[in-house]
Order: sequence, then C-alpha cells, then structure tokens
Amino acid sequence: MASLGACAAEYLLKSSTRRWTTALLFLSWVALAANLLARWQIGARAPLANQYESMLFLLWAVLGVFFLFYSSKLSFAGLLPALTVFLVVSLATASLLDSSIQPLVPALQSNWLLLHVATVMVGYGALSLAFLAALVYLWRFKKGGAASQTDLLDGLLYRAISLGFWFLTLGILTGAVWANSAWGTYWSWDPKETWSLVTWIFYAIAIHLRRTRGWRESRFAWLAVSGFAFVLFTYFGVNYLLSGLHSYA
Amino acid sequence: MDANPIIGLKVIRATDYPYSRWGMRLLERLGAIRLFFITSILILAACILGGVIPQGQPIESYQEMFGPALTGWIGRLGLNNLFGSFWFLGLLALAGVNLAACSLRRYKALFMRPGVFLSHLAIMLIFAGGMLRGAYGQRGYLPMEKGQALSSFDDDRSGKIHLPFSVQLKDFRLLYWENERHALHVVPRDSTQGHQTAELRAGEKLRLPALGLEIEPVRYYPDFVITEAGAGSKTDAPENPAWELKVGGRKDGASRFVFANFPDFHGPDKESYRLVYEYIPGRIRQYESDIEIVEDGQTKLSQTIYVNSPLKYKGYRLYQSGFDPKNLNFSGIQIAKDPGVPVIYAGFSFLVIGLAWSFWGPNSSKRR
Repeated sequence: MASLGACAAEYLLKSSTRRWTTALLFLSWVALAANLLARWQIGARAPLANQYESMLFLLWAVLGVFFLFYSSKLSFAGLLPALTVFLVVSLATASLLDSSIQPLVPALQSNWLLLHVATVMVGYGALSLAFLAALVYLWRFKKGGAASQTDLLDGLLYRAISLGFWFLTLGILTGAVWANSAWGTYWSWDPKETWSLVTWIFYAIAIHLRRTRGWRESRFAWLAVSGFAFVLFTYFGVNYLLSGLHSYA
Repeated sequence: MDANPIIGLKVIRATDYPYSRWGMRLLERLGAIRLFFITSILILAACILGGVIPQGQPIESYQEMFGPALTGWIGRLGLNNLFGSFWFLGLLALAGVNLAACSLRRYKALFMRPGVFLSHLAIMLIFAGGMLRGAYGQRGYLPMEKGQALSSFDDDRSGKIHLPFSVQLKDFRLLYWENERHALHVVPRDSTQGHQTAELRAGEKLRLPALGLEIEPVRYYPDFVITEAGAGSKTDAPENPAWELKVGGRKDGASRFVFANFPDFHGPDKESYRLVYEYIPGRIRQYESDIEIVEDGQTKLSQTIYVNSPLKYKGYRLYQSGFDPKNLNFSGIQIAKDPGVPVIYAGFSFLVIGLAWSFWGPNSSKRR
C-alpha cells in the first residue's frame, strides 16, 4: 500500500499523498517490528538466525534509518517511490525463503548473535538507503537541479554511508570477537569475512575520496551504487555461491 | 606548512624542516594519501581474488575448477594461499607503514581531529596484534577419546608443542532439541485404503486393527550390516538405519527387516501392505566435553566446555570444536594461545570510538 501510495504521490505530486505514504511506511515499520518481536517470543531467541529473519530485520533497519534522517523536504526528492519499491521487492524475495522458526544450531547459541547480526544489518540498512538516495540523485539530478534538493540528497548520502560504515565496522568487529570466543581465532579468511572486508575497504576508500579528494554529488553517488554491489554479494552471493563458516546464515 | 584545501589539515612538508629534509621527504612519500589509495585498491583486489578462488585446496581441485593453464598461474602467484603469501603480507605491511607515516606527518593536525588519529592508531594496533599472533601464537587440535589425556599438540607452523599441563577428556555428550525418531508407514497395496503411520520404539508393540496387524519392534540397527554372526551394526552412527520387526500373522513367524535407506525393500512376501521405515534424525542442541586440567599430578581445573564456551588456563583456551557421529566417545577440541588478542581488542575499541568521533564528534565532518 505504501508503495502504491508513493508512486501515486510521485505521479500526482501532492504533498498530502506523500504524507500518507510516509505514515503508511511508518506503519510498515511498526508492523515489521511486531513481526520480529513475535518471532522472538515464539522462538525464545533473537530473530536473526537465518536469511529470512535477517532480511526482515534489514528492512526494518532500512526504514529505521530513513526515519532517523527523515525530513519532510526529503520526500520531495523522489526517495519515497525508490524506498517503497525496494521494500516490496525485498519482501517478495524474503517470501521465497524458509520462514519456519527453528531452534538454534550450537554455533549460534551466543549473545553475540544479536549484537553481531543486528549491527551488520543496521549497517547494510544504512548502506541500502545510501544506494537508493544515490540512484535518485543520478536519475533526477545528475545534470543539475535545485541546489537545495541536490545538497539534501548529497548530505543524506554521506550521512547514510557514515552510519552504515560505522555499523558495518562494529558488525565485523563483534563478529571477530565472537569468532575468537567460539573457534579460538578472530579472523579465518572465511568467504563471508573476506567479502565483508572487501565491502569495508571499498567504503573506506569512498569516504577518503570524499574527504580528501572532494568526490561529492555524482561521483560519490556512483561510489554508493558500486559499494552496494559489494553489500549484495556479501549478504546474498556468499551464502549461495561460496561455502564457509557462515553457511548457516 | 600547507593547508589541504579540502579538509583543512596542516601537513608538514619537507621544506618546513630543512635540517632533516631527506627523512621528511621519505615520510611525505610513505604517508601520501596517494599511497593509501594504491595500497587499499590493491588489497581490495587481492581480497576479491582470495574471496573468489577457494583457499588451501589440493592442486587437483584447482585443475578441475580452472583448467591446467590457470592453475599454473594460481600456483605461481600463490593465489591458492593468497592471505598467507609474502606479497599479500607485504601489501598489509605497506598499508601499515603508510598509516604510521601519515599519522606522523600530520600529527599536529590529527590531534585537532582525534577521531581520525584514533582510527588510524586502531588499524595499526590491529596490524600489530596480527603480527604478535603470527610470531607467538599457537594453535592446534586435540583429537580425544573419553578417558584419554594429552599434553602436546601439533601446531601448523611451530611443529609439536608441549603443554605445561595435560588435558583429560572425562566425558562427552551430545544433547538434542529433539531426539531421533523412527516412523513406520504401513501402506496398503489397495490404494483405496489410507496408510497409517506409527512410531517405532524397541519393545513397544504396535497394533493396527484396521489392517489386522500387530508389529513388534525387536531391535534397532543404526548402521546395519550382515556378518557371519548374523545381523549387526557396524557403528553407532545412523549410516544405514534398519529395524528388525516381528509382524503378527506371518505364517513363518520369522522376523523381517526394514531399511530407511532402501524404502522399496519389502522382502519376498506378497502381503496386502507395504512397510516403509523413515528415519528422522535428531536436532542437535549442543555438544559438550567434561575436561580436566592436570598439572604436577594434581587436578587444577574441571570444566564442561561447549560451543561458544571455552576453558581458559595459563593463556591457553580450549574450544569444543567437533565430534564424530560414528564414534560418540570422540571429541574434537581446538587449543589456541594468542598473545596478540589484547592488542587486537584495544584496536577494535579504538576503531569504533575513533570512527564515531570522526563522524559525529566535535569538529566532525558530518556536514562534509
């Protein structure tokens, strides 16, 4: 419904419709939180133990980051349709996954599960929002536009990448501490670890390029789009194409 | 000194210190942001290669995956053990030197932006912790049977390492969320009649009045095998699960066998029903070992270890690592000693704080 509302709002260009869409998105966020809490209660464990649950949490995180950075001016920049289409496609993908609530395998029975997966997913959520903002930027404002809107999107892009990078760092580090307490080594060059590092290095380069070489706006938007390819491969590709210590994820 | 036009950092130039021009020039080169981009992109590319090419496999598997020509290159460039190769370690070392030189070169400006300084220091600490691990770390595997004591292990790099104590496995247990189950499906050959399912438990007779049957489960064989002595089980692992059943009403009164791996095997009889046995494996909750540490003939520590809950003694950690489903007296235990861990963890903490300070702290770049 939020998706339809967002598209209609974009077509009709009515600010009242955008407000309704934003309200629907907020309701979606609450509904996702309720779903996750219900799974938590039924499974008597954090709902972060498989790809289905982590995807639900990721969508909740994307919306959470959107509302964290929310400004009524942002809705005019075309972000709402992009965000809602992203949510619908992701939910459709999640519906193809096994949604049953299973007890935890021994390796996942740790308090680090919540800390590690939640921080990584919030990181991915923020980087996903940066990707959407970058797409909107490149689609609508590549050849210029109102300075207020381009600045707004460029600022959102940087703030989302900063937040995503920080949470990704925290996620990788909590994973390393967990690995050390479970397997006696904090780093094994497991495919998931390696690709997380690839993603981290890419965003570190992107942030340095912005801060020391002045890569902003279009160039930074392209970096955000490219970086999201690494996020996708680390999150999905590694699970399906490469086997390793994270094969239960 | 010049000011970087974008970030406003004051950078020490060689010309600012004419008395040590050569040293400053070297520092300038080694700490250049250009070198950061070059090393980072090379490390990124190396990690992508190492993430795509499986690591540490036998040479035959590379030939199968990539063909003989590419396998030759993989061997020559050390891409099969990329993360331990000299060129990759050299790249990491260069990145560390670049960070150190960059921090030295801009130390005044970095103190004005402590988040950046702390983040750079953190990466250097993580590298230092990794080097300590490489130089002094020990890691090995203790393959243990119940009652066995071991006081040494084989380390991949250092060879045999003798422990200042011995490790004894007192007991090993597998715990289940749900135990294994054995379902027997009685399927009438007359397809108009529905099939019935019952659970097999040794000694508990099954009565199926609708089919006029009485089935007595006699014995369960986890890994069925026929020997000269008759039917038996090769191991305790459910490799070839089978049940011996006595079915009431059979003229010969003999037992018959049903096999989970061979559901179409029904024996020679042309009965009005088929018996199909389904083995439903248990769901493992945890595996745990009771460990005793013995030193100078005295028991110093007794502890149960399980996945995510290691034992710590004299700098060593013992981790529950694995088990053998075919031999439930066996427990696989990892042993590790890593003096670099405190340094690494300090680096982790500094990195999280430094980045937060850099992004959102005072004088941060949140508007950049």
